[in-house]
Amino acid sequence: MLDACVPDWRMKDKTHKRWIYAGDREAYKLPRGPHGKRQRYSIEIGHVKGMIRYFDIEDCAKKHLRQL
Amino acid sequence: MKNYPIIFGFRDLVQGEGYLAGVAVEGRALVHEEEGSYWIEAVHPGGFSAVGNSPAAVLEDFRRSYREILFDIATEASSFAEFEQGVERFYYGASERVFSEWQAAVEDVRAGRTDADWLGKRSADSPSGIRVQRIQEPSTSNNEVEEGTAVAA
Repeated sequence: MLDACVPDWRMKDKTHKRWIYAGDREAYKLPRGPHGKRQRYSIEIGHVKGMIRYFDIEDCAKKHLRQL
Repeated sequence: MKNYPIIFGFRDLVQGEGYLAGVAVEGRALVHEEEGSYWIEAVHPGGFSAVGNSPAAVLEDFRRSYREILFDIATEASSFAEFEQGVERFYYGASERVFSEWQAAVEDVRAGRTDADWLGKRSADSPSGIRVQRIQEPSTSNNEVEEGTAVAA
């Protein structure tokens, strides 16, 4: 989804968070750990929604994440 | 979906490489309640979220996440000045759109359209900002009790 919606995105894992950078904006910080489908998916989606809103990519993200 | 505007005051001591820093923040965030689950969208500082299946759980996740980000900033900073810059960038790197939604949610609280009985209220017009202080000489005078979290009204 990020490849399609935030073409210049890059990622850096720091000690506690996964920092998602795009352009010269301050990074968005996600929890670290394996990504993809999880058992408690209904809870984790909050992090994804927050990132999508932060980068203002909702219209694009909806095409790639049916959960939205 | 219900939205609750919150304000919070946190106090942290952060150890960097060769320095000790005190960080005091008065910030804003937006709590979203959806089908029994909660997630918090940080406003000031911005750029992170928290999740939980109860108000207490999501607030705990938010507090922990905020502190973890400070520690990440400290790990990358080679000096106090770099740490201070990183923290200020963290605070001011907010989404204007989300801040506007926070302000709208405050109006809902003031109009009685929204209420959260799981938190006390504090004025949304309370001062906000972040302060980073280098602790040169530890002293009890540096100790501050944090304000905690409240619904912005």
